[in-house]
Amino acid sequence: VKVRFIYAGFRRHADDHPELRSHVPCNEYFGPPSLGIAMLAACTPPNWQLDFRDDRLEDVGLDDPDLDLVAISCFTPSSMRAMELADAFRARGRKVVLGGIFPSLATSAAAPHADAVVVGEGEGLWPQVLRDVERGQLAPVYRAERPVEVTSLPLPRVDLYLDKEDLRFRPDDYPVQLSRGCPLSCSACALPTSMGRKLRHLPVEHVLGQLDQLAARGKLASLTEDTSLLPGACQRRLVELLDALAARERPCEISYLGTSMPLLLAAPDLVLQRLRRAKVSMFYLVGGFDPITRGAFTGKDQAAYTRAVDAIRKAWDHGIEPYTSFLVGNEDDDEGTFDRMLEFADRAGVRKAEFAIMTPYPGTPVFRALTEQGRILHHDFSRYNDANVVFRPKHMTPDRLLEGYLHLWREFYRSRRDYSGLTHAERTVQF
Amino acid sequence: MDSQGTEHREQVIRVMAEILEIEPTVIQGEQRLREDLGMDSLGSLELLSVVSHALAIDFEMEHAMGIVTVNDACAFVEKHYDEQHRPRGPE
Repeated sequence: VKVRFIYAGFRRHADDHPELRSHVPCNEYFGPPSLGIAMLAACTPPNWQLDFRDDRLEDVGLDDPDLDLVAISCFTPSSMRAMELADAFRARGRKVVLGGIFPSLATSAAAPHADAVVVGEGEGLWPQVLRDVERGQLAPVYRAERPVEVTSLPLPRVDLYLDKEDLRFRPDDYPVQLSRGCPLSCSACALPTSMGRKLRHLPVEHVLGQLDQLAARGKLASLTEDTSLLPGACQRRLVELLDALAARERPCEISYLGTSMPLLLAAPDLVLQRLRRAKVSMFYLVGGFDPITRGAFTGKDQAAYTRAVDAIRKAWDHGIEPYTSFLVGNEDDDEGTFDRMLEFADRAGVRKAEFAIMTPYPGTPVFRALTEQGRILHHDFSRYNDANVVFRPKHMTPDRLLEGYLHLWREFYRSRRDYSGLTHAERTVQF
Repeated sequence: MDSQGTEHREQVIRVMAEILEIEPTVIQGEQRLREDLGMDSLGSLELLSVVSHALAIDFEMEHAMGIVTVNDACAFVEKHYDEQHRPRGPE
């Protein structure tokens, strides 16, 4: 029996706006797939053969005859492509299962395109799905009734991704998972809905195992979760991990730590010193979800603006680059927001930035709110990629928001053309 | 409340006062952090971050989500300190 995992393709910022390639003097980020497929591959019993195709890079083999199951993973921007592929495989008589964030949160949209949909975390359900395929009794929906016990997870099969590397696809870093779930209630985030509100920490040994896998292949690790600097157990576990890394002879290096301005400001100096000692050289500061970045660029919240400046300075004071992700299109943003962001970036000393348009992903509170208000413009989910306006903004037209987003990319990098002193990884920007 | 409990309560209120830039004497136990004192989510994170490091207490963030009043915050800190640092008597 054989299963083929497919990571469905999606359009990135520069695919929709090719002019960005001339505006931005940085390497275009072409990151690895999310860890979902690598985890399910690790949970696949040995009597199953498996292979993996990255739809962004290669032919997915629609006419390959020996496939007992095709498992397609997608999130919102790749969902339409995933459903198109699912239809094409099914038209050729293949069984298809869809999983990932989009099928989990928009199950009724995904279900007509698949023989089965996996809803929620897949690791606990996957062996049952495969057994049912073997028996010819695939159910239409497999729903995770409880959170996965993270202490018993195997290491993800990132080798499947690493083996695909070539001249076009060679990410500097690969994500390492520290925990699942989040107790916060950010209106634009789907994580608490898809993974629950209880934070479940992976054992330090597991995280070190993930890091060792990457170190063995000469890769950097990215700590992408915004929760790692939350007070209490999250910070303690991060410090434990950093200490364990520092004690190793050849530790895997960490390319960046994802966080937000409030968490950076609230983090004690001790934690930031540990990060620096572990050679973490960059924060990926996600904006638009927190009270600081939602207020700082509205022109009406001086306290938020001051805190945002303080956050950038705190990062630099600890020798860590604040790579800042600016989100435009929040409820209080107006036409002046774009120039306020540029002025802020100059004043605070932001050297690297990316710009994204607020996107209401299905399953998030903001998607529900905008739907109720009749402000969703369309359901072409291939354009739900942070690079298009898919809702009616409150204080400007959709065209003005798009124009402002492009203006930000263009003007921010107009005065920042020389990144020659940076390494390849440091020069990489997501666009 | 024993003397250590009182000390911890004073410490929590002192950190709150620093974050809010007000006098500690203004802060009363029944006051709600957000509605009455104007402490936003960043302030709450900062409070928990500073106090947890100062007293070396560990907690899961979701358990802190129920903190509403000053008394809640003090009780939360004391409970975790008690569980993690107080010597236990013989069974």
